[in-house]
Amino acid sequence: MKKKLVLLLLFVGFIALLAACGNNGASDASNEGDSNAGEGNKDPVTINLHHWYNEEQDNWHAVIEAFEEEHPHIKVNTITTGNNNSQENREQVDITAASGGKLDVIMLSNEADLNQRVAYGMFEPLNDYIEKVGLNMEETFLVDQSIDGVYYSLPAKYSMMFVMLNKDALDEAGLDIPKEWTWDEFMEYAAALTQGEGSNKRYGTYFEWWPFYRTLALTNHEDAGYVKPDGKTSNMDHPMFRKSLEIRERGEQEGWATPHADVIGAGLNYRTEYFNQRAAMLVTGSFMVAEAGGVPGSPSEFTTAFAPIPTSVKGDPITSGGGVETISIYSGSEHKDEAFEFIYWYTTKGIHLQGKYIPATAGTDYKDIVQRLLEDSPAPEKVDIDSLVHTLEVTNVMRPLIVPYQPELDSVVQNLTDEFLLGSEDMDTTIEKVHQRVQQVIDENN
Amino acid sequence: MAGKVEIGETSTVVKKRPKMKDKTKETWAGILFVSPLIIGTSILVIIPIFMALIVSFTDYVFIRGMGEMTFTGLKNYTRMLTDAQFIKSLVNNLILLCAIPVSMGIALLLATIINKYVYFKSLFRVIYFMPFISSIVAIAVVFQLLFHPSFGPINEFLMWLGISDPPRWLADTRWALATIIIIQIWTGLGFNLIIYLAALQNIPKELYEAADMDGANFWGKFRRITVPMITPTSFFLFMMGIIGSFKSFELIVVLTGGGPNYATSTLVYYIYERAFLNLNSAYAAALSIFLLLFLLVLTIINWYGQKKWVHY
Repeated sequence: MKKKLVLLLLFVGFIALLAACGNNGASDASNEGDSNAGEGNKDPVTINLHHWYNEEQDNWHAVIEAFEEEHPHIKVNTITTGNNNSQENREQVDITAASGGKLDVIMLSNEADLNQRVAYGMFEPLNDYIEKVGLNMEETFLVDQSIDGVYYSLPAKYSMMFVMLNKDALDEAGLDIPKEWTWDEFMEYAAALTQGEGSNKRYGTYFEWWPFYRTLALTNHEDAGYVKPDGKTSNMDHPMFRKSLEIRERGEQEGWATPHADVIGAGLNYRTEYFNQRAAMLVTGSFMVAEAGGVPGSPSEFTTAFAPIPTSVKGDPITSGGGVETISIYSGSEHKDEAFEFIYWYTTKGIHLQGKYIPATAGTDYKDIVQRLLEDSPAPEKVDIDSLVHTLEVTNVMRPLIVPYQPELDSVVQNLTDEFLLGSEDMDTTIEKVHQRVQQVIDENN
Repeated sequence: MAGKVEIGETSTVVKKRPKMKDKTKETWAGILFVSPLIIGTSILVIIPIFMALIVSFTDYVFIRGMGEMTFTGLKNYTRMLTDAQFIKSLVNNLILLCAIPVSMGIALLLATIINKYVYFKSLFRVIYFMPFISSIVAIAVVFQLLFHPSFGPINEFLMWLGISDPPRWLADTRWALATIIIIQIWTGLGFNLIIYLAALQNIPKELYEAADMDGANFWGKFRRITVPMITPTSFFLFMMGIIGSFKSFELIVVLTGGGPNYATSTLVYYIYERAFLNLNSAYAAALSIFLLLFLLVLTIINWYGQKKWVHY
């Protein structure tokens, strides 16, 4: 009988263990809250913040400390994948939401991810909260992330697209740093900067495999998305999509861009290609500023200058579809007011204090922020600050239409243009196919 | 002291109770012994399968929760019929299946050679087994370098041989899947080889001696003795190969992400893309139910087919 009792206990224990596995994350978080409680008069509320940055490197501890000091009734518990991999964070958030875990404040790396999840009711509408604190969204922030007039996020880290240029290579070729330029001039630069042969060849530029690099020339246009502003028609018959493919085709044929086959076949990476001087220019985003002088342990060997993203027509306004990160409140959060206090404080104050990212607030002193961004750089003297500040100042943000099924469209554009970039399909067929497929996906989702 | 008394008391209680029948006792013990497995499998496998089945008839999205889903009937299943990417992934899976006999054949050939015709047997065993225990990511990176379209050693060699336009391997819609198959055969070879070696050593020597007496040549002995004697092993390896090929995912994620243009997408990869990138959980559930049924049919065919060619 006793043996049986032991067995039964083991059995119950086993089930309890299984049940506990599912709740680990949540109970850890609440325990932490409890142990911190009782310091103030009221028990402080603990909110969870999900992000993907390295907390040591990016000064997060100081930010959280400052916030908790100002707001003693709130404790912030950060949960990060810690590896700068926003996709991993996104998957972790999805799974936590699906399994009923505790979510309060969620950061996402771009509006497409936000939009996709807003469609499934994941995020709390913020209009009431914004009104309550009297926050003027247009005046405070450079970008508008509202969806049909409703705000689901406040803009956090600001990323614009720009061009990084190897200044040593420019000097060698006798070229100036462009203050503003067109894609045609960009291609001339790329051709002039190409040097050498074989495995030692330095290409004029490198295009990463991302879908963005297949619609480059579209970025300067009001109707730049895959979908026309009416939300129902494919935009891939846009002349600028053809222009974008022409840029890529010339890059392949004239040999000034790293061949696409090498990029995807050998799994190349834009950081290593640029910093190892295998490509002299890089169309990339302002998230690269802190690394422009190299990363700790491997300082850059050459000076990097910056130019705004090229326009398709000379004199057009310089606009870039920014990948502005979002910070939102989970619709099932139990502490929405406290969560809003945090995101409001973070986007307007905390991010400035942190000094690691370019904030999306209006009136930012770029010179100051750039200097702070380069504090940990092993070779800040290798960054041409004047051209960088100029670039940041002249670039305006433009917001193409983003739809909830954006990832599906990204995948369509990427897969169908792969055939073209690898030379197994001609341009007209590719454009026709992309246009058709995009329209099909739009129809399926409407 | 107190403890002792307690023990005494309990044991008297036990004695007083009427004895359970031996048979019931055994039944209970049996149930208790298998219960961890049964509970484990139900929670982790059987219940999720039924959930997936239910979900596949709805428009469920996993981040939204169960409350807000509506039934959509067979929509997710009819959608598969017109889904070009799904069909492509399925075809890719079938092509991957063809690689299993090839891999087994090479393994058997090598095993026969290593078993009889070389010195340092154990050294070769270790060498061929190394890829199987190496990290997939590390293998992927090495092969990316080897298969580099412009400067990879393989293409440089081909060009040296006089092939002016060698395939671009992973960056080639026609060659990408073949490249994945080559890498998979290479990594799986060690496992097949070890199992075959063990099987070869279990074949009684007398059979070969008798055949020698009758004047059989190498090929005759191989065909009439070796191959029939190891059919159970071949069957095992074939089943493992099928399971492995339907699970092929890591290599594809690391190397190609299903591209270029779905050339290397498999069912499992496509399910992942649908479920976690596009958030079409219900459709992904329908796809996985299809995969389950497909595997079930394959297993049944295998099971009945084996009676024709496996000799125990």
